[in-house]
Amino acid sequence: MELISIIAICFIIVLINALFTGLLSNKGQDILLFLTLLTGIILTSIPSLSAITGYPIVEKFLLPHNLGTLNIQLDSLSAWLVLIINFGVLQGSIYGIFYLKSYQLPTNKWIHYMTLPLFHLSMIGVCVFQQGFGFLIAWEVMSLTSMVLVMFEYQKRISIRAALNYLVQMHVGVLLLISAFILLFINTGSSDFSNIALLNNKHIVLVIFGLFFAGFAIKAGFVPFHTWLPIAHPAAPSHISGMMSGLLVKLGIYGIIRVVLYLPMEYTTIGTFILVLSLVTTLFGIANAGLRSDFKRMLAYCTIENIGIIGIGIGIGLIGKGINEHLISWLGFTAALLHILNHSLFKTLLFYSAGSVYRQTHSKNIEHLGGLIKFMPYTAAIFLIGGIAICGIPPFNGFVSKFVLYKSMIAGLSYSNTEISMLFILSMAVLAISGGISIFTFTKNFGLIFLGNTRKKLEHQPKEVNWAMLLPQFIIIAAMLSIAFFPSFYISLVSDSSNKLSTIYNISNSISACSPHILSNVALCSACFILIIGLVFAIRQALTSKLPETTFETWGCGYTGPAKATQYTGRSFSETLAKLLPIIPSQKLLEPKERKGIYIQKLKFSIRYHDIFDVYIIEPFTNLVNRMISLFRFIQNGQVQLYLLYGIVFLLIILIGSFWNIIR
Amino acid sequence: MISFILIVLVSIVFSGVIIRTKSLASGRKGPGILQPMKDIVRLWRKGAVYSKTTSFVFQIAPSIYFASLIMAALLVPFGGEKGILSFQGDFVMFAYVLALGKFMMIISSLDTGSSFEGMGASREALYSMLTEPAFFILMGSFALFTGQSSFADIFNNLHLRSENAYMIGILAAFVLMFIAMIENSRMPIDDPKTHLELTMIHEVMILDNSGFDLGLILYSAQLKFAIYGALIANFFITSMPFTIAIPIFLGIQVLFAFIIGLFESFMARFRMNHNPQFVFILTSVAMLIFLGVLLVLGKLI
Repeated sequence: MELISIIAICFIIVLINALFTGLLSNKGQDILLFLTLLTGIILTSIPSLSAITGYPIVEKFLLPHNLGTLNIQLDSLSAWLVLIINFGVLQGSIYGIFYLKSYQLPTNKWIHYMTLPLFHLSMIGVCVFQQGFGFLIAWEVMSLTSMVLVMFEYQKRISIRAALNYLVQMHVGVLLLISAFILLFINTGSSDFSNIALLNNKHIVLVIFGLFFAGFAIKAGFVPFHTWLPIAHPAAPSHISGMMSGLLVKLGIYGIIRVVLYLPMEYTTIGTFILVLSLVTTLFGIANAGLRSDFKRMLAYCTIENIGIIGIGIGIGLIGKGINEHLISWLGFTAALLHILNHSLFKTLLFYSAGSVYRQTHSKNIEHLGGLIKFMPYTAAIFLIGGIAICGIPPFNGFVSKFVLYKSMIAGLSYSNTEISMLFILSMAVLAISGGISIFTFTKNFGLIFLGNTRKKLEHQPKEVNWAMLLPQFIIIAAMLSIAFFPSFYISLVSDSSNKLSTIYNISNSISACSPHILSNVALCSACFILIIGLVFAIRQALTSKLPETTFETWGCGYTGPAKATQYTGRSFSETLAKLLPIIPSQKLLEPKERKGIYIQKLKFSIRYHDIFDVYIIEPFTNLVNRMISLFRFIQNGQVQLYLLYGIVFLLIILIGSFWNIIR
Repeated sequence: MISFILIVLVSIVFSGVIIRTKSLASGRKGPGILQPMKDIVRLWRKGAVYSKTTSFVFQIAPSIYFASLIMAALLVPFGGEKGILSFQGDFVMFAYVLALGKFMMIISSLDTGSSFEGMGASREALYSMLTEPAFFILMGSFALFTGQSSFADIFNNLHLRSENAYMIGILAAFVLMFIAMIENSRMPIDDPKTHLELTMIHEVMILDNSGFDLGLILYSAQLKFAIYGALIANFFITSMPFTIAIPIFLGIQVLFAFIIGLFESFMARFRMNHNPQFVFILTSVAMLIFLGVLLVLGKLI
């Protein structure tokens, strides 16, 4: 079957779903949604599986009204993204259907169900449309549907605010993309991505790349374009936050990689730029994540960090391409592509387990939680696994992509250029310290949410979520382990894309692919590590089984009363880190809550951390725009007479203008 | 293989040597050097008391911590002689395997819901985070210096330019020694003898561990010292024959323990809020090593 007909069929099915979902019962809606998504997933996965091995599908259609050709292409890079999206949406839909069961809101449910398949299809569309026109339509549909999905709880003010913020930021991005496509069209006669390769002027290449990069970076969340992420993710329902963070954001990265694939020159300059920006993004994202108390906001900042890590891979790949070191370039791009998959897995996993916590406790503040491991042991274990994986610790999948990244850096160190050596050792240090802060962040969050005693009395006793919500999470964990133990397979899947990315476009790809087996040793060591852990634990069990064991209160330095309120808090856990990070402005408030005469009975102490880009760049800028616009507010004053006057004045101007031949 | 056996052997007496040095420095006779190990064996045979608040995390964490150190020890070579596991880029694995142990210990201390243990957890997470870049810059410099990327190949190729290698080796030994002291929460950062919970790091994290688990944690600390000591020794033995290398290895380990003992006898603990600056010095020294390597390789000028 042709690709265009597959997409058309999917679109028809999505429309049918949209038409009928409102008419069905609750259960019928769930089944219809799942079936719609499943058919879409199966239909788009089949061609992707053949495309990923290096047999791209290319189709061209002439559009009416001189709109040019519609180019559809499913090459190994698109196929990789399509498969990741399909896997993520499949798990997300199962989780989401059961996650939404607790909401008794029929109206927003069917709107939600109408848009979800369209959101999926538009993401696929972004991956396959190669030409500006089709691409922008898919891109725009994707932005709008995700906005609708974000404002599921539209009764809440914060949801509306987040959705509007998202909408505006996305449209700034679209504006940049449109101008990039127009520039491309003017210079090469077509807005197809592959025409970037035809550009031959250094400055035009830089300008077009800059516009594309800025447009895609808003979606991807590179600093300083990241400010929508920490607002939109906490506001959206958890399965949507998971899909946005795991899949949607990756399409920004996809756009950057797509442009990078066709770049004809200036590899080192652009590579250095991406690398430096990504290093900043990595550090900024994780440093913020370490301080947040809202765990969904923490995960959003953590996404920014991981986008930075993917960006480091792209930057190194481009630098390697620029200095003609195929191996460095190949390793860099492979690390980036692998990390796209890895991050999509563990981030969705973390969002889903966090969503389960939120559903059971109705709190997103880690300071209010604690001790949930006793009520929700599976969710706790899932969060723990996700946390270990996202820190890049073996034996999980995060280590695989980080290891490839370190390998590319080590390979790049030996290159004879001093500046590049310096840059690479710096990236190594940044990657190492960001790993360290990740450990800080996730030990803090896991410890405060799941361990210790409950800090605040909850409305009802939390209990483990049902198996249907746990199942997709277990499937994701299985996928993560398969990456950790069979990395060679996954590397062979991306090696075609990495080969193309690391060689100059359209110039013979005959350079032998690097061996996909570079990681078999890592997998072996991970297996060995698990074996040792098992062995140590078995010995411990054997030796301690006969020994006496008693339970008692936690040692309280002599104090034996209940010590729930004196447990360590998240704020105090991260205060040591906050002191080291002056770039994150904090605001300490000490306000009296209760007074009796002149005596203060109760004090409330709070620390708020702000996003420096929000406070010092975005906000002043939007305020400035607001102030400028408000100068013209007198025009719109609500008096109909005045509006009629405007019309008359306008007509008079036209009349006089045409009379004196000023307007022709 | 040989490195693993030697590390285990050294780990048995390491704390003993430190304690003996300290007692001699303060004019006491002190216990025998096997005494800490005897205490640990005694703990291994004792029953345990668990807090009511704790969960399975508390029970598995010490075992994973210990396993991570065993795994790290398997990766350490003996000069040019490969460790049991060795591959290109194994030092990355080394650092990240140790990180899993730290991760588990931090959450196990939060598992008790204690008001003190969180402090230790927070500090441990912070300081180990700050040492990470130092280790990576150090190993990256040596990867650049030798053009290799596995422990064994790096140490095997160090002897090629001997004088420079020793010069940089001494700086590296300095960095690694302090990393080991920070990771084990020893004197300039933390005082293992103190009983003031507010100023403790590692000791406060394990307040609620007892019995077998406590023994495992105490032994892990010794093993960690021995592993870092082995790495330091590797910078000097490079690819010598075993007959010379083994005495040098043991000598360096004893010297390492002796220096730690002297440090602890004659130095006071730093103020807690100055510790991050001190830890970050290591990164700048590692950067110095990197610049030194660039200089030696003739890349800088």
